[in-house]
Amino acid sequence: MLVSLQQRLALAIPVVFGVSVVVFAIVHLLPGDPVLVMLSGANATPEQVAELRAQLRFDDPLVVQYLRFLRRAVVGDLGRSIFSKRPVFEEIATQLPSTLELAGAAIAIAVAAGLVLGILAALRPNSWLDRLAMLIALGGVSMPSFWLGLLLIFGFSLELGWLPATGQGGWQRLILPAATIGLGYAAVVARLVRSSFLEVLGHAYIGTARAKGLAERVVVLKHALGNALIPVVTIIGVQLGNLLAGTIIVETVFSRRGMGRLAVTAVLDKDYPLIQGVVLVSALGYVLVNLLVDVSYSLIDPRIRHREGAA
Amino acid sequence: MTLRLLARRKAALLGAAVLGLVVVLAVAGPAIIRTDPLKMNPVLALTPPNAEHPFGTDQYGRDVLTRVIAGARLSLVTGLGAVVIALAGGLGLGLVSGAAGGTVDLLVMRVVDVMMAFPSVLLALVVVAVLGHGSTNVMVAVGVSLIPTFVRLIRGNVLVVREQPYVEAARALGCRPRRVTLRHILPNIIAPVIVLATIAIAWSIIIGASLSFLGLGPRPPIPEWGVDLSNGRNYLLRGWWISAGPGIAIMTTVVAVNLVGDTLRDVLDPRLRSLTNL
Amino acid sequence: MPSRRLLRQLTPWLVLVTVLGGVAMPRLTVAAKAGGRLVFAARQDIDTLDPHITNRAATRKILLQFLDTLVVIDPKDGSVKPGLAEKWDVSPDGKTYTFHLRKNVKFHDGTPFDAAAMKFTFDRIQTPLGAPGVARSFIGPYESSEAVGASTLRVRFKQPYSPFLRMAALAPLGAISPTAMQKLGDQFARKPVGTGPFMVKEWINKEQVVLVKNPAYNWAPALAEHQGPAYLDEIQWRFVLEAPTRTAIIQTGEVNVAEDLSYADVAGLEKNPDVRILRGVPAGTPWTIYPNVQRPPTNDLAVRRALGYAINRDAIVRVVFHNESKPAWSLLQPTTPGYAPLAKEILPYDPSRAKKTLDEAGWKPGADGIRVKDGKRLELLWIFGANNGYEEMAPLIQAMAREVGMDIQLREQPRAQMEEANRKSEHNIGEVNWWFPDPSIMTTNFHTKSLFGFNRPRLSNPEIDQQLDQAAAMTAEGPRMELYKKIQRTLFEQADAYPLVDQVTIVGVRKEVKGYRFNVVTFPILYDVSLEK
Repeated sequence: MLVSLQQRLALAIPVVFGVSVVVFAIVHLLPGDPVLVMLSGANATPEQVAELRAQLRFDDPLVVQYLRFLRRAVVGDLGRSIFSKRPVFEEIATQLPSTLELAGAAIAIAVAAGLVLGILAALRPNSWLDRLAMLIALGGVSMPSFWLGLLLIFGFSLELGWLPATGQGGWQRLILPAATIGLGYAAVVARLVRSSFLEVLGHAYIGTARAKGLAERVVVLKHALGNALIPVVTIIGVQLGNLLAGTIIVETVFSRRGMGRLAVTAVLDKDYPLIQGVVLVSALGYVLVNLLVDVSYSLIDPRIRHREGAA
Repeated sequence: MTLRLLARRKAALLGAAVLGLVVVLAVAGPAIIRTDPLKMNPVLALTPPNAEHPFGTDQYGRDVLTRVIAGARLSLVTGLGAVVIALAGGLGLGLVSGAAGGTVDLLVMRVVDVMMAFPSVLLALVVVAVLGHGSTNVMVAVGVSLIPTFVRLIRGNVLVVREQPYVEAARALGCRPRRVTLRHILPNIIAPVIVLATIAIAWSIIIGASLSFLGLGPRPPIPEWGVDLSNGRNYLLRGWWISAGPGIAIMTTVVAVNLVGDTLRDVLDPRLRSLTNL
Repeated sequence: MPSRRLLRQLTPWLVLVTVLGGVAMPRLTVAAKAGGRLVFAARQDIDTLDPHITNRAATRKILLQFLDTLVVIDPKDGSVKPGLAEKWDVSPDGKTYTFHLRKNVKFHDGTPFDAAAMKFTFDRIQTPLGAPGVARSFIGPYESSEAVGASTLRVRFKQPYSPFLRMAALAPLGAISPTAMQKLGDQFARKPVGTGPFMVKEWINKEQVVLVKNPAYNWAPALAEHQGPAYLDEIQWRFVLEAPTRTAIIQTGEVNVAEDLSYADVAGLEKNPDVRILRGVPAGTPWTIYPNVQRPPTNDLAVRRALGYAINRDAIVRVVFHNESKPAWSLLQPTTPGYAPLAKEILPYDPSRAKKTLDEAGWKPGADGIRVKDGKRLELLWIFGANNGYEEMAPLIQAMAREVGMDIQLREQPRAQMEEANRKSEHNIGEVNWWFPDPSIMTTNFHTKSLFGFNRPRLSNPEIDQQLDQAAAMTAEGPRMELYKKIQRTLFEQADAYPLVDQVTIVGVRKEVKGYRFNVVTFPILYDVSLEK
């Protein structure tokens, strides 16, 4: 089942095309005149309707329109947002860094918390520590994120006064929103770490003689950590889609700018060029990250690397 | 070994008991509750939990416990319904793709890859924005967004089971492909699918609640856990119990579902753990 | 040792110096107050910064900081005072206004403010810019303006338009720079240029608008508490849509001012020594809902009257507003001229009367409690706007209507979609409320020519139209208000609108903020604000 890196890359290309087709089709699949649909919320004058119609040229055959869409998208022209009249590319460029920052911090928190909880649980399997750690992890994933976010604001920002609740800039403002998202994944990571650790520790104690002294134990732990890393990295790749979902809610609750909030308002406002842009960028991002995950996969697991030969 | 399984079973029993209670409430709830969950009683607005109202009353004077019980039905149905949709789609595509192999497989998997590229909540958002509000649409949206996960799992398992000797034997005996698939492959992949389905119920309930927060869920005054949790957020200081009721209900149900799912996984086959880790 | 005589001679000088020193001292402390950045937590997002396109109060509040108007309204007595115009006259027929403008006023881009610029501003409001913005409504039957020299502007109307003096005080009619407008074109909506005490530095979508001090500002209206540039260096106008978040951050000090605090949280916040709660009753219209008179079943007078009798305002005040306001019985706010609490006698709360009215009209209760007539259920569709303020009231009114056998269906839509649906007459119940200093707002709510705009009841009554036009033209204040009261009486008798609760503005201000003021419609005036260390 292991696919080589070159094959993965080759498989990614039709996916990218598929994504672009779906994104292109969004506006055309809806009932009614696409131009009127696009402008339905924008209170446009007849002149603006005519202008948009001329600009978009919906009368051309679909294939021609699709190729034009592709050609423009490649150079970064994704049209203009109906509401703000700014280029979609610019809108996304303004909001994207904030989301990436948030996602990065969330992953960091998820991995850190997951490692801690997972290792604690694995050290004393089936003890109360194990149960407690797993339960804490489970708690993070059992609450809708907006509720968790509000609880964190009220707890850490209001009651304790430790951390700010809103806005951009500085690592402190990142903690609460990142924790809201990250704690959800900590559960998954913790579970993986725990089982990987148990697996390795089990082998170590069965296979080798009693661990003598610190050096042996350190080697075992390092091996366990490395073993745990593979599934953790895989999980991050797979769950990335849910990460954007997390940012949608969290950005609203914590009043941060970002792609999540942009996506929600674009969908609710029926701002189709913006929706297309956001969906395209997030889908492409997803494909890219998965590729990266596969690359790191092969780097971590020496077996795969050796099979590839020199990359 | 047995000790571990037993401990797990206890957790699972607890989880199953809780789930059972929730299901009973969902089905029989509207019949057993005394007060009308829709009835507003402004005089009693924002009373903290007491003997008369164990979960207190909300800002309109409605009994929170009654609303939680009444809301169980809609929340569960939405969660279950979404998983049923995902299961149907997943089984359909996964079985066909895995069993047929070749170009069909390649095509289906590329389609699935494309689907997976779209974030599930965004997909759900777009679907609801197009179809409109309401629990049914939320159910469809969440269900559709979960299909790719199921397809991946089912197809993966089908590929493994396909190589098993008993399947080869069936084919050698001349059984028609459909019979092979349904009689021999399907029963052997069902275990991890059940596990995933259980966990997916938990996901659906949470995603559904998030969509309600964004304003896309069922319309007032219908009681539903996600909507009620969202509506209570303006009262975290003055009336924390308004959110606590549905919030605890969601948490308990989700935890219970996860516990049951975990144990199912351990019981059915520990080796399958790697196949269901998604 | 100075002789006693010397002392006696010096004393008056000493007294004088001390007094002068005493007078001069505040000036010194005034200089020390300057500087600082104010963070303002706003409740609603904006759609544009262009004063001629916007239809949102959220935008108007920001416009107020970087635009100046010809006149200003004194919130204490509603009188009109000089702004960019020093004096003015109105022709006897009420159709021509002549403004004598202040000299040495500059726009933020350095170009001079003059009559030609003001003419440009008013003319531009007439051009179709897409959405029906409020500026168009406010400027009324505008015909043209004429710049007589650099400092005199003559504004002409097609009909006598007495509200214009008050309209000229509203930010959407503030002066914009023609040079900037022509240079920036489309982008003007993102970085408009005016003459105000602050300038727009940038607008980050969905996040905040940043305003910076205009160092050249020297033409504050006499109504202001000081002259010269503003004290604040910068204002961060942040959009914090979640009420619980606003409550939290005003307490932690993350923001200096938080507007529209949740009514439920006010009692708790009053106990917080770091936060001051300011309350104001704006001029305008109260929280009001309107039945669509053109769409069944609200086209039936009996249905409309029954809904009016079914609404229990006391319950709404208690449950939704936590007793921070009072029931509204007029189509205008108490602080608006023309206020008349007539609904109390014409459409009082009387559920049994509601049921009786419906019975008599042939609406009989069905199996589920909802009334039926000719096989049709009594269903009303209420399309309410997201984050528009009616979200908490809607389910309560829905329950009240249910008591008398009416089924109100609630549908939430983003503001723009709601406006569109209302214009297409898809609703049975619509909502809108205004911050506005004059009763002529009723024209915007009920006139036929407002059907393309904000006429929620879809009313097209020639008699009402004629009376509204007449009232807008009358110059004598007394008879004019009497006419508005008469119009309200007719509207209530026809059950064309249901005022619910008076609007009360509640703003949380941290203790370090000094000089925060409301204008006549309780919008924030940040010009005199300073931050105490």
